This record gives sequence, C-alpha cells and structure tokens, in this order.
Amino acid sequence: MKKLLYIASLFSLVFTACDPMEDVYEEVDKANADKLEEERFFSDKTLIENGYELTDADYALSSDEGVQNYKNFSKYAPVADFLPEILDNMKLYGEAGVEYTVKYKFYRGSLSYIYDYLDYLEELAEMDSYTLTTADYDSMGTGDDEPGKYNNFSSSTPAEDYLPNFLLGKFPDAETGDELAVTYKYYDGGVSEITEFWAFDGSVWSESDKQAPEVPSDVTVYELTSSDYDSMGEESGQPGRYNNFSDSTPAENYLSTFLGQKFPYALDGAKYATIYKHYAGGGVTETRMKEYTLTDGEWVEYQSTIDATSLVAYKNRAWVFVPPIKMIESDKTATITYTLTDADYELVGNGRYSNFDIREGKDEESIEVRIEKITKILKANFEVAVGDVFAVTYDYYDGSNGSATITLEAVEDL
Amino acid sequence: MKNAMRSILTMAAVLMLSVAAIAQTTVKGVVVDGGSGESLPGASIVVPGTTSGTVSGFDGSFALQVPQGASKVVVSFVGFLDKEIALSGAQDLGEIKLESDAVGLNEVSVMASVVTDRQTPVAVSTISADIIENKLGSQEYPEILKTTPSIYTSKEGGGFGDASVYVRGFDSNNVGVLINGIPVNDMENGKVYWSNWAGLSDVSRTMQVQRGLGASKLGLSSVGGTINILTKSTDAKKGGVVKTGIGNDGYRKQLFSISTGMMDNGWAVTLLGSHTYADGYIRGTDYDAWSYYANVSKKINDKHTMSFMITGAPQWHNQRGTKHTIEQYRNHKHEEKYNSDYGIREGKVYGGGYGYNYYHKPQAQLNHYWNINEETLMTTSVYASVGSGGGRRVSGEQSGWLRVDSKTGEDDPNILRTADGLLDFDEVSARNATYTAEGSQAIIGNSVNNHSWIGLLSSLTMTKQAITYTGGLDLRYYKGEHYREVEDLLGGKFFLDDSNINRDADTWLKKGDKYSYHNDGKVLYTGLFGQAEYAGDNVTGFVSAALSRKSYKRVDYFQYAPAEQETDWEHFFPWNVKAGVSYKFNSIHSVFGNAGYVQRTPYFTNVFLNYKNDVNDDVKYEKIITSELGYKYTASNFDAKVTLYRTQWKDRGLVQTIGRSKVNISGLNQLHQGIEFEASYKPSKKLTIDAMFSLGDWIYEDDVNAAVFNEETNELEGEFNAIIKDVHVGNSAQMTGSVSVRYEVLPKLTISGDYLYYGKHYANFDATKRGLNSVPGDAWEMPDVGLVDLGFNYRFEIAGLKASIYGNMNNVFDTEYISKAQDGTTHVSSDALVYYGFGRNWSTGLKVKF
Repeated sequence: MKKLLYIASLFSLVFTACDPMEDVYEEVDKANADKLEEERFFSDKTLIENGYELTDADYALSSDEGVQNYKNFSKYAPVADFLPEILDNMKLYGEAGVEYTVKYKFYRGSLSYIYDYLDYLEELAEMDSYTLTTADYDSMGTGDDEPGKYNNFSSSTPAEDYLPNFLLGKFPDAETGDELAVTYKYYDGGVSEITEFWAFDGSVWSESDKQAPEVPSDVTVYELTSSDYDSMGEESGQPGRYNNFSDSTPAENYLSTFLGQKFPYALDGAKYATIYKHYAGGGVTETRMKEYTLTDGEWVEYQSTIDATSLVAYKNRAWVFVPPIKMIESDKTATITYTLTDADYELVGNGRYSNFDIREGKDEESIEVRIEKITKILKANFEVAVGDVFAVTYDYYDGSNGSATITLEAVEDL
Repeated sequence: MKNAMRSILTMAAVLMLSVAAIAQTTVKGVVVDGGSGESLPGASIVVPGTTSGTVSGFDGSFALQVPQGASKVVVSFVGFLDKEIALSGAQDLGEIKLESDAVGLNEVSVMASVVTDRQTPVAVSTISADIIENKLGSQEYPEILKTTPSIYTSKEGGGFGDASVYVRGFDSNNVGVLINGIPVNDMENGKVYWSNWAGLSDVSRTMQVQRGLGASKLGLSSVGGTINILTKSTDAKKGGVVKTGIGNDGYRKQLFSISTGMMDNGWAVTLLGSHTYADGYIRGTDYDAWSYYANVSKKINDKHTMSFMITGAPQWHNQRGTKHTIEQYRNHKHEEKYNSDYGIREGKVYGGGYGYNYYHKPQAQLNHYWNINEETLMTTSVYASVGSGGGRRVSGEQSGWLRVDSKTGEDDPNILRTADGLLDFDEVSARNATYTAEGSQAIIGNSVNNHSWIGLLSSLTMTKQAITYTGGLDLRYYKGEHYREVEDLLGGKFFLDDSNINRDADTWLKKGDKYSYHNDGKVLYTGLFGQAEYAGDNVTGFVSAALSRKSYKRVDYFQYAPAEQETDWEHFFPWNVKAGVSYKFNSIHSVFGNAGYVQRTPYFTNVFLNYKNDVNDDVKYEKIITSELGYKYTASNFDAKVTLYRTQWKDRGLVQTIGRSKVNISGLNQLHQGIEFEASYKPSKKLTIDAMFSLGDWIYEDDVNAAVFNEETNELEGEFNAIIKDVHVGNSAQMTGSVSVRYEVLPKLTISGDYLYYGKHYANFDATKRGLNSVPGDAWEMPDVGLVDLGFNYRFEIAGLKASIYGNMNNVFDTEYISKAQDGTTHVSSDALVYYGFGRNWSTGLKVKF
C-alpha cells in the first residue's frame, strides 16, 4: 500500500506540474496581441477598395481653411500636403503595397489673358478710328513712289513716312494724349489692310507702343463673324437672329459644336480663344471671350476648377502621397540593390511560383511588364525618390529557372 | 521532458524494491501453449479453494508453495482452456500444455504470420485479448496500441472510428493491416479506414504490431510495420457473454455473444452482436454503431477443419473534418470541443460537409485447415468483402453558405449560421426554395466509395528437421466505385451539374443521382511468396521473398464518351526480399537482426493523374530499404528488448494541387531511424510493470524539384521546388514513452495505471507550401505532453456465473494538449491548424459470462 502511495505521489508530481499548453498560449497571445491591436485599430476603418472620389463633405475634414471653404485643392493648399490627412480623418485604410487613385477638385485659377484681352478690346472700342480713303492717299502725292499712285502704302512708300504729316493735317484739333486706330492698305505683292495705333503728344503723331495683350502661343484668337452666328440658325431664339448670344441662347450651348464645324481638321489639344457678342439685355451688348480646347475630339471650355487625380498609398497606418515617379531602365550605378522576395511576387500576382514567366505569350514576356511590376514592388518597399537607382534581382522562368538583375532609375513622371 | 523521463526511471526503480515470499511445499512447472510450444508468461496457477497461487514468469516457469494437503492446482490463462492437475506432494510438473479455447486459432495464426515472440527476428509487440478487453474502454480501437513503441495514435477530429495510427512515423498507407491474415489496406491508395472496422474491438482476440518489415510473407506495402489482428474464432467451450457499459457524453454499449462449443458432431458456432452509441465528446459527433460476428467451424476429422466467418460493423457518425487555429478554439464558446462542421436541420443535429460518415463493410471468409501430416499444414482462405458508404460534402454555386475554409479554419464569408453558431441548414433550405429555375444552390452530397473485393490466400507450411518451408499464392480482385451522389437538396427541387458529358447539363438531379464524378478503380493482384525458416537450438533465421503483379485499370463514366471510358491495364511488378537471423547466447541474452528491400507499386492516383484516364509515364516504383538490430533480455521476472532501426524510403511519389495546377512530385526521400525499448517487470504475482520508450529521427532527406502542369490543359506551367531537406516528418510523435502498472490490490480487484509521454511531435506540412521563397525552417513542434489513464477490474460471481465490473478513465488530469497539427506559413503555434486531444473520458461496465 505504501508503494502505491509512492506511485501516486510521483505520478501527481510529474503530471499535474506540467501543463503542456502554457507556453503555447503565451506564444499565441503574443502573436495575437499584435493582431488584436491591429484589429482594434482597423475596427472603425473602411477599406478604400478601388480608389475614391472626394465628396464636398470630405474637404471639411482638412486642416486648411481654404480647402474647407472652397472644397478644392490649389497651389496654395497642395494636394501632396493636404490630401493624405483627409483620408486619414475619413478613417479609410488601404492594403499594403497598393497604390490607390483618388479623384478630387483642383483650383488652377482663371485665364488672366482673357481679361487682359477683353480690356484691350474695350479700349479699342472706345478709341477713335480712321480708315484712309482714296482721297487721303491721293493727298500724299500721286506720282511714282508716292502713295496716291496706287492708293496704298508699300515698302517704298512706308506708312511711317507719310502718316505723321497726314494726321496733323487731318486732325488739326487733336489734343495731347489722343489715340487713334488707323487702318490703311499695304501692298506687299498683294494688298492687305493693316490697323495701327497712333498717338499725339501735343506736337507730333507717332505710332503708339500699344499692342494687343500677349496671348499664349498655343492659343488662336478667333472672333465670331455675322455669318458664324448665322450658321447657328437665324430663326427667332437662335444666335443668327441678332448675331449674338444671350442668356436664352448662351454661348456655351453653341460654341463647342460651332468650333467642331468651323475647324474640323484641328488637332487634339488645339486651343481657341473665341470672342463673341453677348446681349445682356436693356440694349447692352457685351464682348465676351472663352477658351476652348479640343479634347478627345470635343471642344471643351476652360474651367478654373478641374477634376484631378493623384496616387496615394497606405503605409504604417497612414496615408502618404505618392509622387508621380516612374522607373526607367538605366546604366547608372545603383544606389540600392534589392532581391525580390516571395511576398513581392505575391504582391504582383506571381505568388504561385515566385518568379516571372518570361516565355513567349506569358504574362511577363515583355520587359515593360516586368518593369511595371518591379516598380510596384519597389514603391511598396521603399520611399522611392527621384534620382534613386535600384539594381533589382528577380527570378524568371523561361523553360527553366534563372535569375536576372535590372537597373532602374526613379524619374519624375510628367 | 528530461524531468519527466527521469521521473519515470525513478519510479521504475522504486517499484523494483521488494518481493515477498512464504515457504511451504513447492510445486514447479513451465506453462506452455499446447499448439505452438511457446512458453506462456502470466498464466495463473492456483490451488482451488485457497488463497495460494502464483503466475508464471516470462519464460513460463513457476514455483508455487502449496499448503500441506493440497490435492490439485488449476492452471489458467486468458485464451486457453483451464487445466486441472492432481498433486502428490512436492513435485516438478514439467511442461504443462494449455489448449487454446478457440477452434482453429493456431492455424489462423500461421496463416496470418503472427510471430511467436522469442523466435522470429523482428521487432514485435503483442496486445492480448485481456488487455483489449480491460483497457480499451470507450477509446478508439487503434488506441490500444498506444503503449507500444514507435506508435502514435490520435482520434483526429474525434468522430467515432476516425482515429489514425502511425507506426515509426508512417501513416496507414504504409502500415499493412491484416485481419485473420487477410490484407485489408485499400487496394488503390493503401489506406485503412478504421471506421470501416469499428466493431473489431469487440471481436478481437489479439492484436500484434510487427514494426518494420515484419514477418508477413505477403507482398505487403508495410513500410512502417504490420498490424496483425486475429478475431475470435469459435469458442471451444459452450457458453456466452453479456456485457453492458456506460460512459461520459451518453456513451452506451451492449454486447451479447453465444457459443455452442465444439459439439460431438464436430460443429461449433459462435455468434456475437454489439451496439454502441453516444453523443460524442466533441460537439456534433454523435454516432450509432453496430457490429456482428458469426463463426461456424466444422472439424471434419483430425486432418480437416473448415471455418466460416463473417463480420461487419455498420455505423454512421457525425464527425469533425476541419482543424482550427489555437486562437479560434480559444475564442469559441465550445473551446477545444469546437466543431465548425455541423448544424441544425429541422431541429436535429445534422453533419455538413466533412461532418458525417457512414459505412458498412462486411467481410466473409471461408478457411480450410488441412493438417496433411505432422510436418505439413495447408491453410486456404477464400474471402470477400463488400463495402459501401461515404461521407458528406457540400456542393453547388453557393456552397459557401455551408463551407469552412480548411486552409484557414475560418468560415466562408457567405456562411449561414444560427444565433448559436451552428450551420443553418433551415436558412439554406429557405434560400434554395427561392431558386425555382436554377435549382438548389447548396446541397449535401455523399462522396461515395464502394468496393467489392474477393481473394484467395493459400499457403503450405512444411517442416523438415529444423527448417520450415512456406510457399503460397495470393490472388485478389478489387473494384472500387467512386462517385458523388445527391443526398439532400436542402429545400430545393433539383440540382444541376454539368460534369457528366454523357448527360444533358439541364437534367434535374434528385436524391441518389450521381454528379461531379463517377469512376471505378480496378485492381488485379497475383502474388507468389515463399519463405524458409531455420530454427536451431541457438540460431534461428529466415529468408523470404514475394513477387507479384499488380494491375490497375481506371473507368471514368463522366469525363469520357462510352467507348473511351476504360483504360488499359497498367501492370506493375513489385517485389520484396527480406532475411533475418537471431542468436541466443543463453536462456537470458539473445540478439537479432534483419534487413529487407521492397520495391513498391505507386498508388493509383500517382498512376492515373488529374483524376482522369491520363497515365503518368514518369511514375516510379517506390523503394524501401530497411534494417533492424535488436537485443533481448529474458529472465523469469524481467524481460526487455531494445531495437535499432533504419528505414529509407526512396522515390516516394506525391501528387498535390497548387491552385489550378497539379504538381507531380516524385523522388521524395524519407529517412526514418530510431531506437525502441520495451521492458516488463513482475516483482510479485500481484504487480506487473511495463515500460516503453522510443525515440525516432524521421526527416525528409532532400529538397525536391517537380514539374507543374495545368490541371485543365495539362500544359507544363513551370517548376516547383520544395525546400524540405531536414524538415521533420509530422503527424506522429517521434518520441514516446510509457509506464504501465497493474496491481492486484485486493483478491480479484486489479487496478491499473498508465502514464504516456509524447515529445518531438511535429506538425504535418504541405510540401507545396515550402517553395523557394517561403519562410524556411522546421515544422512547428507541438508541446510535449504527459497523460495518465487509470482502470480497474473486479471479478466476482453472481448466481454461479463469472462476472466482472470494469472501468477506465483516460486523461485523468484532463490535461489540455494538441494531438494533431498542420503547419502554418511561419511554422509557429499561432498559425498552425490543430486538433486538441480529448480531455478526461470515462466508461464503466459489467460483464457476465455464462
């Protein structure tokens, strides 16, 4: 019996003392603590899924007053600085290594040249003008090499030789500061009409330095003619009726179509600044101007606030702006060397074999696709900055397994 | 771990301290098996009507002090008829031969190559009927082997009959299982489904594990070992048994058997039936199992005995088919009993996909034993078995309503569960009912595996002087039928399936209609075997060889037009040779050694790829080279064995699926080596101590490179490298130890205790998850665990009938532990998928013999 007690006590000593799961539970708890913390962090957050478009309400979450008030970004409140915080404040999250496209409003400002140009047109409208008549040329002499001979100016009879005296005689009551638009004929193999601005300084007329305001070089200024209005219909309620637009026949309803018909061979990207008349009511007709750009076959009016997109990524539980950087093959010396991991291949959908299948007809046959995938991987792993040069080693399969190294440089993606 | 082993040794030492003795007249003798001449350790020798008695030692010998005037002794041993011997004072009774209480047992033992422990040079452990009856309790049948070296048994998901057994780290595919000498491993994939044999525990007489190549002369695929089960045959004595038992979680068992005994006309009939049912320890694992057994023997004359046996065990059980992470169990209200695979259908527990199994596989055999003369025995067995049954699966467009992801243990995002967290079959039914045009979107189907098997096994054994020659023939024909059938439309009117090219895809399928796949695997087997065994005074040895032809044919009714459904026979010629020798220095010390080479046929699925009639031209024979070296120590009250083994398994084939691709991995090389120790100590007639320790080193030897094919186009997609060199083999504890104590505390009351220890137990891993860029490292090692079982047995008489009450409690301290694990991506505890071992379980019962 004593022996039995011995056995029993030994048994209980050995067996009750050890709980096999104790260490395991500690391990699991530790592994789960991180997971739990993560779950807690993400519990009130929503996956951004396939990118996002900011709504008006979202801008209110910005710390920038301008963004809050105008509900857009601008050069005063740059996207790179103020977009990520809105996404953070919205409690959105993204998957690691994925770049998401966010659509938002960007204020790029209005076109200042249009205002300058309209001012200029107004000035012109207020200015006196004079068009030389046959008698005027004749008054300058009708002999050889004199304007009256052919009733125009030319290289041998330049306007600046004749006009000062002519204008003194024509406008004897002129006062200091008077301006005048002078239109004359000019022969240069053919006859054309030229308008110049002349000014009186109290004693002498000279060509003024007034010029049409500068218009961007890629913009063509076009003023609608009567026949242009007529082409838009001459019935009552159509622009051709009074050769203008009005509140009931607004320009934006016609101009896009009109430009398409008027300039059917314009190239995509062409810009036209269109000058037109707008009847504002009460007998007042204004001159107005809009810029249109041929975009994908359609004439689109310039907007001061536009839709724009940027890339963002979710790193270390916060959103970061992804600068528009692309990777190009380079022969520079690498600053960073890197070998793709299993997780990297997984990220770009090559997790099954952890290599790039470069055989003919397979996904990564072209180097471009490989660069695209490696770029995605590098951006997921590094804070890639312009000027970084990576030497990346990857595994491939071309019938048998191999590996290759490619050197890629980060450059700005314009 | 070290501490635990030290404690075991200390305990063993304490127990060896004292033996008591009293002196009177001495009677001596040696108890032997009258059939084989083997000595019988543990036989009891008592003087009737007194308390004086003893048990025989390991060499069968005994010396009993009998009181003056004692006129007789009774010698008895489980499995043998009692023998009464008249006494005339002090004397040496010499050899006392006990005769088997079963008809034809010796013959069937020869046929089954059951090893007599002290002669054949192989590593062997034998479980007697006595142990099976007293210790099994409500455990799974294979668990009776858990106190033998290099064996790991697990209840897997915990469903009735779902247990698995590993021998030297090899699973059932690689462990030959013989029932009465008849091989029962599946002919296509080598597996043994214990649920097919759930009733065996009630009819087993002995169970013997031969580790390594074993002694079977057949061309078996036993890499790890052979489990040799002998059922009861016909009782030689008239009588019967009634048994009733209860246990935790609604466990109930009833058993009844009756025997005519050997009648004067030479006939003997034994019948047995049992019924077992329970709610199951794990949630949603209730079951209902029957077993029956009948044996009719006719002793025609001294030379001829015929015996007909039929046994079967129809059962259904709800099961658990999905492992979970440790955290998932801890977060679930049912904790380690959590079962994600069952639900409620119309108010009743209803197993879902991988949550229900049913099977019935009767096996019948007609044996003919012909004692041609003293030296020559011919045994012939004609047998047949017909299996039918399967397991539930979920199918359909919306199978996610009822699916749990077996790779993560997580519910499908679309799963439908009740407020209690059970699969909501009623909600599925309601939804299915709305799909009037499309049919059921999620149904329960049965994955059915039926088979029919006939065989003939005949062997002739002839003894010429010291050499015994055995030669024989092993013929088998097997047909396995595999299909999925609609079981339950779950509220819908019909189900649509386009897998059968010979059937309109718009056909409305109803209960019982086949879908998804339907194919047959046919196997034709012809084997010849021969053995010569020498038994000298000090040297015994054997040489044996088997050569066979194994042919496979596949018939696919769904994927091919009628004229193209059948493949040609694919022939294979596996063979093996083995030899062993043992040397006895004296009655105490002996050594043995054996070695063998096996060239094995690849499995059916490795021959026909992609579940199609595509023949794998690259298929290789698997090769096994194995050797053993052993030492035995035998004294009258102490017995010990030490075995060293080394098994090399080369060119193992494995077909795995990665995504939509099939990887045909061949050339896996495994090395299993280790040491095994077993000892038995009997300090007094009341006390027996058994101890066991085994330490293995089972690893994968090389990294593997394999071709990857697209599952649909069969086009080469790439290469796959599995980095598995030096990774440990999983699923089975590589270190096991046990100490078992049996003590007769009071006359007729025996209590027993077992301590089991498991260590070096690694998670099983998927080779396809160990590519070049995966996290390297060994598989996760589960925590070591020590478990205690207790039992008692009290014998008494009621109304002149022998009766006993018995009880068992497993995992007495309710120790929480992991019994099975699947390795995760980072090989740590937190990402492994696991099953917990059972906590405390008990059963008790009453047995009356009449």
